[in-house]
Amino acid sequence: MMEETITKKGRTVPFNRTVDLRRQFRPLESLIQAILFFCGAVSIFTTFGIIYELGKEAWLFFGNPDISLVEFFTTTSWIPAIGEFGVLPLVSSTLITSAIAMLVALPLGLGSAIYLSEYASARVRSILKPILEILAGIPTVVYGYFALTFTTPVLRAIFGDDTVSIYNMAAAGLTMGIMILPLVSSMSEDALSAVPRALREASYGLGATRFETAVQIVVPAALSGIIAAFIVGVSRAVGETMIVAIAAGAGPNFTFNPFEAAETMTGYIARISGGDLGYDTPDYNSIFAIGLLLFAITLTLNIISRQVSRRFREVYE
Amino acid sequence: MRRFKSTFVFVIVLFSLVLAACQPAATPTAAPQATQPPADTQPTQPPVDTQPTQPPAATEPTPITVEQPKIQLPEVDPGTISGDIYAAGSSTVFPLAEKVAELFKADGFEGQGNLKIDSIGSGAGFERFCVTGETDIANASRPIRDTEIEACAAVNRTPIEFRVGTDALAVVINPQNDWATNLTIEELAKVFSSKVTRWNEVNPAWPNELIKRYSPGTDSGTFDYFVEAVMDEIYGEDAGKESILKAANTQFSEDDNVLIQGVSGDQFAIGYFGFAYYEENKSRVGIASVEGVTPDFNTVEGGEYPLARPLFIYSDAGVMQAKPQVAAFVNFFLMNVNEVIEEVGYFPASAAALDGARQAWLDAME
Repeated sequence: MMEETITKKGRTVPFNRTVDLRRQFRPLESLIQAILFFCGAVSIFTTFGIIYELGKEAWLFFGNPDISLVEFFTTTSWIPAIGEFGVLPLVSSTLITSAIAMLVALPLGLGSAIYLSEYASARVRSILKPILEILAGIPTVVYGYFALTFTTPVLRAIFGDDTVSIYNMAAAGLTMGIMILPLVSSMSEDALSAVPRALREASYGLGATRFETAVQIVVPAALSGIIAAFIVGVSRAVGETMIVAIAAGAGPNFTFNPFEAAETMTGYIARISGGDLGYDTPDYNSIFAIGLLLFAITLTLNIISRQVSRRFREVYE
Repeated sequence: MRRFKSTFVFVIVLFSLVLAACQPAATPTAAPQATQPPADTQPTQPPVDTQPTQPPAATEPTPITVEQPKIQLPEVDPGTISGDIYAAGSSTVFPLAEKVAELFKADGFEGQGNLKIDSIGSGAGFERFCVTGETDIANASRPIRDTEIEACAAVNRTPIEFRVGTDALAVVINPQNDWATNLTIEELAKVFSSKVTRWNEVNPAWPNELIKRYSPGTDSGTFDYFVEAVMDEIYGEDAGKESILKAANTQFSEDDNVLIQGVSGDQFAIGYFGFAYYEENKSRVGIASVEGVTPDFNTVEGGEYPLARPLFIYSDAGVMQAKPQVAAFVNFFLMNVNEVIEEVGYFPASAAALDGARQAWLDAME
């Protein structure tokens, strides 16, 4: 480093020490860094702790000689009390409720996102967006009773009491869709707003209408964000517990009829955890096996979502 | 603009409140329509069947002319008692024991010791009492088994049985159900078994509709009792349990509200749970008589109602003598249980049974 002089209080003093600011010892700074690192580490260690605990108990479950992995994944009867562990009925109802939820959340969420980002004036958006976000603030247990006491009676009035059971997957799925709607809509809207203005102007300049611009230019440009929103919505639906525990039914049932009652994976875990099951019984360990499976499903979905948004990202500017 | 915004939000909130307020009004008008029996089930009403279901004795308001037990135990003043008391066992006895414990505390047992009651199931309660010997009292909704008495002997305990009351299962049906108002044990077992899926498969006179079954979950003592007293009775041990677990359209829940909601919402539903829950929800579900007997104080106490089970607490003479606080609590339990038992939803034990329990206390303290 060059020899320099600096002016201090009107006097010129020689300054010939080399100073490297990075090496300077700042106790407060390192303390803050340590605290911030600790904050990040807590969540990471919690995740590892959960994986460890899930894995350990699930290992106990699959270590039981009466239970085989093949039987677990291929048979269709889940009755732990008499040693029948076929997880398919729980998985199928999880998938059906999630599919119904996404059938509601995707079109409505995308539609409202397009409206908010492409059509709504700033004033309308500043009013509508917070209202939409109120939906996200409603506790899921409230949605659960909403499904049971509103959605189900409506479905029964439309399709008849004989067709629609009092507990059914359709009501749970529809309500779950409404719950996920703000998530899908707000993530999609962020993606749509991020599309550069120049693209829209170019489209208008070529004579496209507003609708053509929205559907043919902006949505494809924001596709990666929209797909990511969709997948996050799915993983939210798969993991949702209270709504399905209250409204979807309390007994495993291998069926593809959405008007029948069938218990989902999360619903089963919630119900079994509520009883006084003995520690280390197969029933007890089974909830960890299901938890692990659930974790694997949502983790896969999240990884796919990251990959998709990386691969389909269109980079402008 | 800000003003406009807040007014808008206010209007939205007001609107949703108004909607919410309209909701309860709208539901009842829709409900009767929804639950009206389809026309085709009308001819299947068996007029003959419904007659024997209402034995005249059962329809009379239950006269609580309970014969009072004769034996009086030495009076206990909880205020002067000290030391810890630990009871564990049946989840059915638990609410009753809690209520008695509340009385015990209200009468002065406060800071002098811990009174702990755990709800862990009858079997686990005996295990803690007889195997590990860590509890002073075992609560149970069934009599102690021989194997458990042997286990107790190994830790030098001789369980003494104190009868404290009776619980009855209620078989509940939808208020619109006018065919299954009386069931035999055999019919009941069949209704809950995997052998049938429709009502008319149990009795040809009943509607050709799916049976929607609601049962307490497999962890509960109520489920165990039902399996033992109904399913195993007809189909044999284990086969009965398997049959109810495999039956189609069955909802199992530890939450009795789920069962009530299910039975009240579907004309072709049937369920069962503790009589106490039926009492609380009389307006929403109907009760079926079993073997022509409706549960009430007289039929339960007289042993005519088949789905009633005795409730007990167990202790040991050595424990009661070594820990006067335990003897005092058992004494207090036996002297005061009838004040709270109906509040909890159970039936009082007969005067003779309660006298027997009090005599057992006196014998143990000699």
